[in-house]
Amino acid sequence: MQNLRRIVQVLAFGTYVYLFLATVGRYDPALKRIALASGAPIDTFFRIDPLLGLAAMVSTRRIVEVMLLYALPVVALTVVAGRFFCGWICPLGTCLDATDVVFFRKRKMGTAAPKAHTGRARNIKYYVLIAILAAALMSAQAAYLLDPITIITRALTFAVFPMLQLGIRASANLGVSVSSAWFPADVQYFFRLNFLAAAVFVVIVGLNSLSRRWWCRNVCPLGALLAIISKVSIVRRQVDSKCTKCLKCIPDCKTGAILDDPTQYQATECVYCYNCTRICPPAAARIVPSLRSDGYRAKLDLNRRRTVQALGVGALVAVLGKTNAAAKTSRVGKVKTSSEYLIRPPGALPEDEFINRCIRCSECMKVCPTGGLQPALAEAGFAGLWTPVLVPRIGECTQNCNLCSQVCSTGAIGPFEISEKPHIYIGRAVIDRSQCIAWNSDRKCLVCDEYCSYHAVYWKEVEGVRRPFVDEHKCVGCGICENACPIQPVAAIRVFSFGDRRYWTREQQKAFFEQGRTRANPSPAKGDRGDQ
Amino acid sequence: MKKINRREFIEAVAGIGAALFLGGCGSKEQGGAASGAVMRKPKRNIEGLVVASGADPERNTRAALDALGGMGKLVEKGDFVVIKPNIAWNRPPEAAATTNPKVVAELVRMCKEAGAGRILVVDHIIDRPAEGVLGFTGIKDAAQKAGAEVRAAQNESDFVSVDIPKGRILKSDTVIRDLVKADVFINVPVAKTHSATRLTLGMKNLMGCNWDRQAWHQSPSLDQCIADYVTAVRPDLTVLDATRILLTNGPKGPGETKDLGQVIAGTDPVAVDAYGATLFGLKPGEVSHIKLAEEMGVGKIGQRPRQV
Repeated sequence: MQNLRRIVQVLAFGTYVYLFLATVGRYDPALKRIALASGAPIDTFFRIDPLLGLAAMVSTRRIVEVMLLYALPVVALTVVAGRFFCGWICPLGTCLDATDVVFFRKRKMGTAAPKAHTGRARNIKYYVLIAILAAALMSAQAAYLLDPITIITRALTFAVFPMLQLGIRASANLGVSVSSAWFPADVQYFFRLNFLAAAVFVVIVGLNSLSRRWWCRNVCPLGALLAIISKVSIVRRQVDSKCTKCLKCIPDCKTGAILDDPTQYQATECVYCYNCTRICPPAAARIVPSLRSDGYRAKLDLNRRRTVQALGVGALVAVLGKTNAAAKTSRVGKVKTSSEYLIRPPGALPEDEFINRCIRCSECMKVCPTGGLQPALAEAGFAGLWTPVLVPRIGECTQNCNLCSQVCSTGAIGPFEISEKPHIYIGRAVIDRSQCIAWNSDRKCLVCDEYCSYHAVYWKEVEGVRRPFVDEHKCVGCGICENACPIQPVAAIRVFSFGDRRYWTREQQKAFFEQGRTRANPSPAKGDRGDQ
Repeated sequence: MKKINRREFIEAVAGIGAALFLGGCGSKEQGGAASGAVMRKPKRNIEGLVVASGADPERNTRAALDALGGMGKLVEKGDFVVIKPNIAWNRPPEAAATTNPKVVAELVRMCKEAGAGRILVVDHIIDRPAEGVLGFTGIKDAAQKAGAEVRAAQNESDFVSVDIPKGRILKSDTVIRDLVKADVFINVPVAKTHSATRLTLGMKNLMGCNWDRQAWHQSPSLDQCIADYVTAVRPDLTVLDATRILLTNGPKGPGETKDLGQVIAGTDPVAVDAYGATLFGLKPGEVSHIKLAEEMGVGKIGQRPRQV
């Protein structure tokens, strides 16, 4: 069984990495646009994560069907077979097992000196879970902070993927061509907060030095949720009378589930790694379907005081989020005043709901073909950490693309068609005439007008020179103008969030667009032809 | 926990160092550094200016080249041919913002027939992702089927620096690396209006051979930069696609288009562009960069084309 578990771990991790790498756009000649490189559901691992689904659904009080659909089988299996997910499927768990062998425990199994069991910190994870759920009840999404699948994916997206890409591009310079559709050749990805994403991951790996899978034992809120679900699991460890109490199983138990009496174990900690059955010298231990309860312990020894404290912390986090400067809105309550650069991807829900739905999985930023979607720093406040914002100076929202909405598991970025993009307003470009060289020094520069995909930037002759203007009905805030503007580092045309119309329905946005087409147009038509 | 010994420590440090070094190789884009690459002298085996009209762009292309003496005169056996269409924007071929793929494909076929060794269709694409633009414009598919390699030059390492001895503003600039190695260089622009330069024809299309476009816009005169550049990066043949021209909202459109059904071929970049200007009802002298290029001796305005 131990070998089978290892094979499944490798397969699951391989699938995870494949789905991660395939989260990339590729031109599809049949659809005539860029499409995902794989037809498989790219976000499978987020959908099957019950913690993310639960937190997103509770905090927004809405059912997210696709997450429910995928997570329910995991929940059902956990009821039957305990925390198999942690031991067999979880990519972070597999990573910890692998790094453990490389960095911390270079020894054969079963060779450790027998020692008594320790496990005082293990309740922390339940309190973390309680705090997350308390926050969700108060309409604040906090699962993303410590959910294992999002942690490893953020580390891969923000830190590992750009490095791999850099390496592959470097190898091309050295004459070794390893080109691959998985690593776009024309856009090098750069991410803000890549250090933080890497640091969180490295710390979690480093905690293995304290004990095997320290994170999974003590902190992981997903592990805690699965542990609670698995309390009545009917696949149980049994130790028969052949046990000599040699205690060899204890140090090799990945999660410290075996108690000081090795015939006893804490079932909610067991991740079904089958190490104990493998190393037991007299083969006394087995893990089999059973209802026998001797040796089986599933009681959570939660401290009531700590539980209340955790509830309080969760509630406090939620309230702190709601009293953070980022929650402040304009006088009519439509626009967040936290940052003029709060530009969300097209299709994003209105801000408050967006923040609560977004699980910070980073898939939209991984898939963005220009690399312009970046994790938020302060634009959306503390509660918006890691959520996607468009940073046009890094990359624009390119016209023929809706990949971000395709990979979003929770629907925080709602689905939209490319044909709708001319009237999905995410921001608006503003020309800074004091910086603009067509305005301040009469240069023949209309790069913004040239690049504009929606013909929202147009020119008029002012004092004998063609100078750029922005049409508010046509500008959706894609940022290609800001990206291309020759003024460095701060562009003379910039996208600001005041053009963000997420608080309108799609129909209202379309009506606003149509209004611009029918009214007497100050822009193009006249004066725009080369022959005048 | 096992203590790490000295040997393991050194191995680990060496490993991390090697990884950082490899990473570092990529961070510094090679390219620009190799300054002063020399463009080979343009071939002058053929001469003239031809306008071919008709409904079929492929036939027009072939007829125009035949009237110039045939592709066989320009392309010799085993030659490396670089074809530079306008693939700047993510627009379908019918929008007339990019070169008609049929014209490009026909040129590729003719080069093949003439015995070209390697044919490369390349551009520095503006919209992203470049792969999507190559697909959406129809150029990748058409040119590959016709037998060419198709590539986008999107990284600084794809460019080398060339001297522009005759330049007034630009004394040197970058050019797509393959162009320096090419035996034959064919420029295949599409005729469009352009907000900053009024029109974009052949010489303006060469702006897509260079890495930093923004620098030209920032310079005191964009038109002078265009004229400077063509003194050094001069195509052997310009094939102006005027099958359908973009009249408004150029260069990217979408805008009003007009079906002209013309393909103009010529060896003199100024002569081709001067004729192209007349398609928009402009006098060539009204387009500054054409006038400047003539002043600088690149070519002559006002040559009478042969009609076929």
